Amino acid sequence: MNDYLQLLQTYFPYIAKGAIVTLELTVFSLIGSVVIGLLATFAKMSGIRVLGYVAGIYIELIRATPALLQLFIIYFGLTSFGIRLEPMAAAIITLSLVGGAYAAEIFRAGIEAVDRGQFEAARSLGMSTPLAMRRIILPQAGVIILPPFTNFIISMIKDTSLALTISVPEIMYRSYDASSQSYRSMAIYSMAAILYLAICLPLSRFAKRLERRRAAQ
Amino acid sequence: MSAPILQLEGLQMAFGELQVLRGVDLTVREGESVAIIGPSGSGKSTLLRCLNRLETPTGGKVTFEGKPITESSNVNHLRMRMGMVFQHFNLFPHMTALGNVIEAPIHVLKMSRADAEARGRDLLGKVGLLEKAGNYPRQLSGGQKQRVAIARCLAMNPRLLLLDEITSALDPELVGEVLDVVRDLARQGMTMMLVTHEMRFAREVADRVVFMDGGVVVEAGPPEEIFTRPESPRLQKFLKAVLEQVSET
Ligand SMILES: Nc1ncnc2c1ncn2[C@@H]1O[C@H](COP(=O)(O)OP(=O)(O)O)[C@@H](O)[C@H]1O
Ligand SMILES: [Mg+2]
Repeated sequence: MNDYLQLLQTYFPYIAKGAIVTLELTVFSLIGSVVIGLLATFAKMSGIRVLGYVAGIYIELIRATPALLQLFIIYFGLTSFGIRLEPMAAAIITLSLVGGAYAAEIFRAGIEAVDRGQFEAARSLGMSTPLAMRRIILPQAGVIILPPFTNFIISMIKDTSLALTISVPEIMYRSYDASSQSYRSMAIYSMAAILYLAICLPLSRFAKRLERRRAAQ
Repeated sequence: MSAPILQLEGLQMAFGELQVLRGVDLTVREGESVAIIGPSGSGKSTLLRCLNRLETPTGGKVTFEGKPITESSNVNHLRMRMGMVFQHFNLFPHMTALGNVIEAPIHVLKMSRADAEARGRDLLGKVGLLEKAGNYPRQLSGGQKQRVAIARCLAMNPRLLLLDEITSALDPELVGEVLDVVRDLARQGMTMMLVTHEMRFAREVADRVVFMDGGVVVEAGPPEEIFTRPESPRLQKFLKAVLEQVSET
């Protein structure tokens, strides 16, 4: 026990600093995902064929290949075109592209879950499609997608651990590093687990509460 | 006789293979209220939806305020002049009653918020719901919701009102309060087309009753004639069935 406390003292601050990097990765990738996800959603719903195709192909490509492969293509693969990205930048771009594809599906499902009559009522009052979207449909879709979107944030947090493979010093990278120095894998990785749980559990509680509240209405 | 505001000539509508409207001819004059009756599935809703182009007619001609609706370059402009009230209210659940009423005046007509609110309160007062202005739709009864929906429609100052079975989703005891509002509108000379199953109401309020079946107008005329001296066998059969239903309940 004493021994574990000592390990904690030595390695916890080092690993905990990784949590800041993990959160940075998460926040920037979420912003990227939302932007890309919205663009893909509107492209699909625009009724403009070409845009719809492009968005559809993007979503399928992303969903049918592992995120790790996409990360390696962006970080290592692009160097053959002379594009050398910082590890952090490569990770954020990859996670945004991956997240965008999944976010697009969440957004579309949310918009489609809004009663069709809402759109018709808005249009029958003379609102244009973009205005009806902005004022009537999206605010309602926003409430609907809150629980799945919270779950999406949780997966994003966990997916940032992929960045370990290209040496972004987030939680997993630092744990791996600490464990190879100390030869105390169980103790070290349990610290990493505690950090992930501390971030993810409150979010998953929040999502559950939202779902319950919606079910009650 | 007042001027025609709406003219339908051979209006057709098909959903793929399914021909729903098979050539509807009808004229609505300014200030007139026209009740449309007919069995379920006869195309009454489709007819109204074609008029404000929630559906695009597949044939025939519709002229509104002297202009063909299909050529109306801006469908939003057409819809601003032609209000529609739906069976299921379709109030915006994230806005208060007043919020629902002022939404389109502010964002479509570009009215100032203050003006829109003053007018919105006035209209909510007219439908007897001024004290509910700050309530959300979920806090209102069905009848109250439908009255808000009517006020929301009137806020755009429409020249023609399309009402599609606006009482059929209501509990029986709430039907009266909504019909009262419609009756007042008719008295004030609002031009209306109302699809309804309330035969007594149609008889009382409508200047003309149109009986539709199988996607065409089978018979049309003043209420007394339609209800007391129906000519076509189909209308006779329909009225008999409706009357039996009423006496059962
Ligand atoms: N969007 C649609 N797609 C396919 N069929 C439709 C659609 N809307 C209505 N219909 C069909 O058109 C017919 C007439 O419907 P409707 O106009 O709603 O009749 P009513 O209002 O008189 O009951 C029905 O057979 C219905 O199934
Ligand atoms: Mg109908």
